[in-house]
Amino acid sequence: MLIEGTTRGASANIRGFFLIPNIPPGRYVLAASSVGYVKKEILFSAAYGAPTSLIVKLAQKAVQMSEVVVEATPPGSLSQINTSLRVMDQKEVRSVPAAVQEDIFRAIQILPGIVSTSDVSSHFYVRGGAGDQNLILLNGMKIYNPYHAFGIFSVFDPDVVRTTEVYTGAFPAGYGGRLSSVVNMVTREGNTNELSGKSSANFLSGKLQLEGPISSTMNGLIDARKSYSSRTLHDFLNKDLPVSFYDAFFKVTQRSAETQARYSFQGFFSGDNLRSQQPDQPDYTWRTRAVGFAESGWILDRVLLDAVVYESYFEGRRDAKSSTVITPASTSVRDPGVRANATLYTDSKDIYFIGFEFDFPTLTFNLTNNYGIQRNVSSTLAEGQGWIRWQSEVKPWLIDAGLHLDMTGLLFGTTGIENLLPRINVSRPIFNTWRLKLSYGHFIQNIVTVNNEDDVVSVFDAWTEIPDNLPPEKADHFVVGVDGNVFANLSLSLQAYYKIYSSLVSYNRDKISRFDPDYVKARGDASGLEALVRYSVPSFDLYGAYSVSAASIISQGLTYPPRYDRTHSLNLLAVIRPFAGMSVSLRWEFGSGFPYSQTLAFYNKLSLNEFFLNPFQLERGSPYAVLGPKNAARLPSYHRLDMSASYSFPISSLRGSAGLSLVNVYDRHNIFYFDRKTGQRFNMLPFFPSATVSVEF
Amino acid sequence: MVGCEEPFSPKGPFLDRTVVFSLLAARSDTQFVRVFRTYYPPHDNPYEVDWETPDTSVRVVLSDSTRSATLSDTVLTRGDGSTVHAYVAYPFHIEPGQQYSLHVAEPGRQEAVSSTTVPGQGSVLIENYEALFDLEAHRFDDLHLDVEISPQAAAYLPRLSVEFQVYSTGAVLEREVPLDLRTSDRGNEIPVYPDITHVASTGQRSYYFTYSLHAYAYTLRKIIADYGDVYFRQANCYLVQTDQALYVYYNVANGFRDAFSIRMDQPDYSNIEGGLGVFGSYNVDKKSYELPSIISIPATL
Repeated sequence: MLIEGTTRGASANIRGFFLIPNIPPGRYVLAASSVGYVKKEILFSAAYGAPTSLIVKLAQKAVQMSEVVVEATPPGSLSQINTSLRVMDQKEVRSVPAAVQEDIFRAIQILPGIVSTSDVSSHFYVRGGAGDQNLILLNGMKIYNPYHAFGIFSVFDPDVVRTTEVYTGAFPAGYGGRLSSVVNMVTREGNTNELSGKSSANFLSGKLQLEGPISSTMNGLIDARKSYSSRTLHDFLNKDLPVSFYDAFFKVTQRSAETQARYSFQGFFSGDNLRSQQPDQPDYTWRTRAVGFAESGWILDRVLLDAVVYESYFEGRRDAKSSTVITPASTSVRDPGVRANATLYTDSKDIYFIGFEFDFPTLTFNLTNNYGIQRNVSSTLAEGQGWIRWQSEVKPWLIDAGLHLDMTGLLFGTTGIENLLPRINVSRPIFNTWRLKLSYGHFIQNIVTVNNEDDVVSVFDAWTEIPDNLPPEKADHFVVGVDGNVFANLSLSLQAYYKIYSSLVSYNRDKISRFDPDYVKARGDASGLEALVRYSVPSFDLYGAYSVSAASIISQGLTYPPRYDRTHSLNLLAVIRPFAGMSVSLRWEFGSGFPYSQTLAFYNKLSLNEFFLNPFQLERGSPYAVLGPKNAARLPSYHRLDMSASYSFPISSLRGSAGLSLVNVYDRHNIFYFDRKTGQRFNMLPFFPSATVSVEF
Repeated sequence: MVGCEEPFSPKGPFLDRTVVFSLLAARSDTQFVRVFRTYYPPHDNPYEVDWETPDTSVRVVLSDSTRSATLSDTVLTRGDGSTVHAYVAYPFHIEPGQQYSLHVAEPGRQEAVSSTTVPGQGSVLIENYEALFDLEAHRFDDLHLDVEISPQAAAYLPRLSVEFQVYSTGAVLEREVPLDLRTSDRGNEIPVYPDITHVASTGQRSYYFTYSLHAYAYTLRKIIADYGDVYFRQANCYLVQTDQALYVYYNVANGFRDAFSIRMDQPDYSNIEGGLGVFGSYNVDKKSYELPSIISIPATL
């Protein structure tokens, strides 16, 4: 937002609010522009002592055919300060080739530093951090495990999400409770002028979206997707994809005509079933949902308040069926919470953020442990966080600094001032368009997921509280980066990071009896280099992201790479627009193999569990796998080529589009899971063609 | 469409080892050693092969400071008729407090060697044993066990059981039922049996255990309810002492014997140098208290 003829302006925040302070009385023209939208000019009057409220609606450009300038960090944006922030709008998400249709999480995994262990991943991993160290927010609501089986979709429909902020490290005050990253999604509110909708179908699922005004001050949006039955997939594609899923999102928004404040009731629901046709292979079920009430608006002339009250829920189940070696298990998280943030705009253009978040997750984990006992572990935490954050320009530096207070330990008197977590991001121009960026942050996490660290690939993770005998997990991030334009059409971003994990939760390898704790404190580190290249001309976009990284965990004198340590990761994306309405995209993804522990042999193991009652010499044993050094070997590398083509066209007053997508074009058999108890291997998505037809009105 | 398969097996370089299981029981005359080899299933499925296949071509030698015995290959029969290969030494008497070595050798393979010191003589007694047969007079007491363990013991387990006779189809059958520490008629408590406990780091050798008299009365009532006319014979106190290797293996191989654990891994432990498995020893001391054939159980218990 820029007032023409002046140097005054502001960037809208992630929810679309902006404030330009201290405008002298008079008549002005506000020029509003954004990448991918038609620039708009609005005439307005400013009066002394009275705020002027403007509503700016930008229309999307059809196809960008003019000269393209790629900017590593758009001027005036938050990403101009932060080293590790990428903001993706709907257009960027859609530029990433879809497996079957656009997908936010598939899109963000193209960013350097983010890797997935599988197409079926229940987690992604950021800069050497574990999968449970990512904070995922949807309109401020904390979401647990928002993934669909087989990784074809995330549970968030890109048609619903307006903007996605991804912090891959050193995230600012205001985000806490996780050590590695933040994915902050803000949804659209729906069409305020007229009823509109979208319906689409592909080989895997169908979707319906409706939005529009409910009254003069209220509008709504509803969106739902559901897979066809596995039988349909088998008949239609002759492929066994034992997966079924659904997801749905709704949002009803009431606007205040006077203050432009928005009050929303929102919810999303998703579910997955992964069913094996083998009677001795387990079935998996996941359910995720969140419901909340949100408010966003000006409470004072210069104070913007965002608040949300929500309840988030996650449940995962493993049904062992007739398996004799796999046991049933379930896990759930029920997390009611409240989050509020006030943004204060000052005359000096400094911006202050003050906020808090309290949530009360109840974590349950049911399992049959190795002693053969059915364990039901349940705990409820009171997680509390508060923050103050300051953004300013002290020439030539841009500064984003803050303090984040993790009150979880303070509430129970288990920790003290060490939970005051400093966060700082600074940047300055160095030459031409190039900027230097530096970041530091300290982070704490109080809940973790547990799984069998010796599985080749973990499929089932359970959330649990960090044991009482251990401190919370802690990490420090140090990031340095430079970015700028090599040419007008070519931008480059380089970043280096070093993360110190001063406290992690790890198996107690010295445990002998029930008097010894299951877990002990470990430490670790992660470091890496990342490069992001973007090239764009009117009919062609090229995007390349490469990262090289190394992570290690040190526990009880043993140093080993964590299971999600991927040394090399490369993502290449090309988007070709041969003519108006037509888009062809290709994405090739490569990742070097993840670590695992090799099986060196099996032997017949006796339990001797009744040696003083029954003669051990008659005991029947069972096969036992002797493992090699922990995570000393690597799985085969992962690579996959996806292609998609789509064509948009008008159908009288409607807009239609047709698309074809090819997943895993050369049918790479990327390993998903290997059960060393049965020797069975499961691969990730095979070659999978799909066509999508959609109609919008 | 040409597939792009990359074979994968989680196998590492094969660890060719001799697997040995042997437990020496103090004062026993027959010693057994079971010997296996590590293996790789041809299709990565360990259940598709006979994993109990013994290693029958080895030389097994058990020795102490004065003797050495080469064990002979033998076949044992389980209750269900299935058979087990084992190496046996008979007569080979095991003395409490004595150290023993085991050597398992096969040409072309690394020798598996281990040793154990058998726990020495211990003692166990019931301090107020009169409570066993005069429950009315001791109805406000519990049963107190005094345990004294030997210097060689790394862990110990006290046990208490009731032995009785029951007539069935013209025959007299001997039965023995263990007591748990606290189950009674008054609650639905989960039975809690004493578990093997490591000796204190202070080197303490004397320990004290309490069995609820309610639990004892409950056990007597249950025996009568389950078997009808019974003749009580004696209460048996046992003290099981183990060496360190057996204690560690017993715990690690059985989920740490931790009912509260949420660990899902299955770690291993072995004290066999050059091989896998365990070579351990234990000693069971017993003290019996004669019981009247009929015991009066107060209603208040």
